[in-house]
Amino acid sequence: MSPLAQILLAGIGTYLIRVSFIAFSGRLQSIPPRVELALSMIPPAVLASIAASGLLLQGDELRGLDEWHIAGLATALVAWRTKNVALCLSVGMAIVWAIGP
Amino acid sequence: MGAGARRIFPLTIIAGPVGLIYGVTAVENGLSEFETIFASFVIMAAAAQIALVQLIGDESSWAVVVGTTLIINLRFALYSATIASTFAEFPRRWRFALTHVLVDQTAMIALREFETERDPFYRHWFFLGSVLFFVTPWVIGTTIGALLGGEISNGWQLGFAVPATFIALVVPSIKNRPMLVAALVGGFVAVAASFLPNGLNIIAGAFCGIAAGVIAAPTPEPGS
Repeated sequence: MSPLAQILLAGIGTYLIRVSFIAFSGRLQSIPPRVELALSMIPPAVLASIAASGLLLQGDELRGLDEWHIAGLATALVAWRTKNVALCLSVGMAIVWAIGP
Repeated sequence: MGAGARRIFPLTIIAGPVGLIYGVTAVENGLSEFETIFASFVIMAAAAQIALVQLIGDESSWAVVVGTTLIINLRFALYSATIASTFAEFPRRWRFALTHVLVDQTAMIALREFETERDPFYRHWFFLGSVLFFVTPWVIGTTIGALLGGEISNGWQLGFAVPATFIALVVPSIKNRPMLVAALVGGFVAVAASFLPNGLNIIAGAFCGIAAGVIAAPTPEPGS
C-alpha cells in the first residue's frame, strides 16, 4: 500500500475516533461507568508511554545520563507546581540549551 | 475567538517546532514533501504522525502502520466523550468540522474554559480561535521541516521539544491516584518493552497503563 493510502486510512480512522461520541450525542444519554473509567485512563497511560520512551530511549536502548534527563525532570516539576505549559516548556528548553553540548 | 487564541498561545509557540521536527523526521524516513504536509492536514496529531512516518521508513506492513497510529490516537475518544454535550449545541457543520481539530491541546483548553462559559455561540468561536492559532503554526512548521529536511542542525536540540511537550500534557492529565498509576505503569512498560519492534512498546505501555489504572480505581457503583 502506498504511503499516501496509509496516511489517508490513518486519517479516516482518526476522524472516526474523534467523532465517535460526538456523533451519538443526544441519543447516548450516559456512558457506562466502566467505559468512562477506562476512557479516563487513556490520556495518562498513552501520553506517559510516549513521553517516557521519547525521553529515556534512544532507538531501543536506554539513553546515557545527559541534559535531557535533568531538563525532563525540571519540565515535569514545573508542570506539576504551576500547570503553566509555556513556563515548563521554556524551562525545559533553556536547561537543554544551557548545559547541552 | 480572541479568548481562544489567547488561551492557546503558550501552546502555539510549541506547535511550530513540533511541526518542524515531524516534517524533518518524515522526509528523513523517505516521505515526499507532499505526503508529509498532507498527513498534517488529514491526521492532525503530532505523536501519531511521528510514529507513522518512522514505521513507513522501517517498511512495516500497512496494518502495523495504521494500527499503531490509531492506538496512539485512541485518547481522542475520551475528548470526544467529554466534549460531546458541548458540541451537540453547535450547528451541524460546525460540529463535524471542529471534530477534525479536536487535539490534546485544544480539547484541554476548551474543557477548562467551558466549565465557566456556557453560551454555545461563545463556545464555538472560542474553539475556532484556539484551533486557528494552533493549526496554523503546526502546518507552517511541518512545511518548513519538510522543505529543509536534513539541513536542520541537531545542535538546536529541537528533538527535546517532543518529549517535553508530552511531559507538559501528561502531568496535568493526572487528576487522581489511579491515573497516576496508569501513567507510571504506562511509562515504565513502554521503556521496559523497548525490545519490541515497530513502536509496539508504546502500545504495550498504553494497554498495561490503562489496565493498571482501571484495577487501581475503586469499583464504580452500579447505576451511579
